[in-house]
Amino acid sequence: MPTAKDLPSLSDQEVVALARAGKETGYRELLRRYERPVFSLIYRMVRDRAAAEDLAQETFIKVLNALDSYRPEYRFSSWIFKIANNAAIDQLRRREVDTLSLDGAPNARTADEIEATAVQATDRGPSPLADLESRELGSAIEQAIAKLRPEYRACILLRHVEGRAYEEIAETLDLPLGTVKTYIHRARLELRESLGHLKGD
Amino acid sequence: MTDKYLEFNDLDALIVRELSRLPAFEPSRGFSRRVMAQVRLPEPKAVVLLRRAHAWALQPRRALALAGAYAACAVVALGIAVPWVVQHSASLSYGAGLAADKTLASARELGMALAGWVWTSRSWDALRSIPVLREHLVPFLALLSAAYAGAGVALHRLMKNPEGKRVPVAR
Repeated sequence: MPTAKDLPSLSDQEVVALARAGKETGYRELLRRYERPVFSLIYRMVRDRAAAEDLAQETFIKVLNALDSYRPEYRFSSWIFKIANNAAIDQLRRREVDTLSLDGAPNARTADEIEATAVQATDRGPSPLADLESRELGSAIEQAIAKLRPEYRACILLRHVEGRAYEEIAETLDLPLGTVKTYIHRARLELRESLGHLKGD
Repeated sequence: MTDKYLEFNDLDALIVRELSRLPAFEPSRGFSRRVMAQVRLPEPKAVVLLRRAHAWALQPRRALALAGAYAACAVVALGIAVPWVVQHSASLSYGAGLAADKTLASARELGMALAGWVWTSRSWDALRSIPVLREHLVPFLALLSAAYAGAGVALHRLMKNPEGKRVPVAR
């Protein structure tokens, strides 16, 4: 049985086996390995720190409580990124619905009802993401990523930020390999258009 | 910003390079603690088996079957043991006598050694020199008896079958 010192050198599959055997250190190691990549992916997808933290927490609880159902023939990273991406996409869909209700509940009839049920949007000041965006090129790229469609965004983040292989992205997002390549190609085209002003004429 | 990046002719390569350099974000402090608080760690197999066995035996019919099986085992064991004991009674009584003699001899030796130690070390004199008054001894014995009775009652409550809402739910 591997000890705590061996943990960093173990593969994901071995750490999962350790966790399945009831070792708490296995759970902590999986959390340590993936908390930053998973949180970063979700944060860049939803662009809201509090929501990203809730979704990352939800993802880890779901994954760590269902380790028995994990099949070792698949990559652990694909599994956890799939759950994280699905959580982010669901959040974006919910947010689209919520955006409609900013002007008041749909069943509000009178002016008073509309005013009473309307959500007051307030400026909460600069977020950490906004801080980052204040830095020249990094900020331009973050803004350009934010403008991409969610599926393009997930593909480009997994490929170029997380450094995942095309096959793994296809596995993660349940998409055919060709579709993943197309999405990444189109995402890069859109990024080129958005960042065209960086190129010298 | 435009002037700064004039040297990059291939914008695509620049984008890919900068994407790979984007920093990873870190969740707030206490994130892993909050996650771990909601993770169900698997219990050791022995505990799981014991819990399952306990849940299984909690049902009255199964408890009755278990008690029946226990009684049947005891009857069978007696049915085998009694004829064997009768058959080998002579050798058994000889062995038992020998064991009793040896035990008595050991106990006698131990008693003699203890008495010798008490006599030579003057422990008995030291014990007698402790000023214990009768008025102290009686409340002490009363307290000891009450504590003993309390422990008995606590043990009885602990061993009693759970009732009402305290009955564990079998899963």
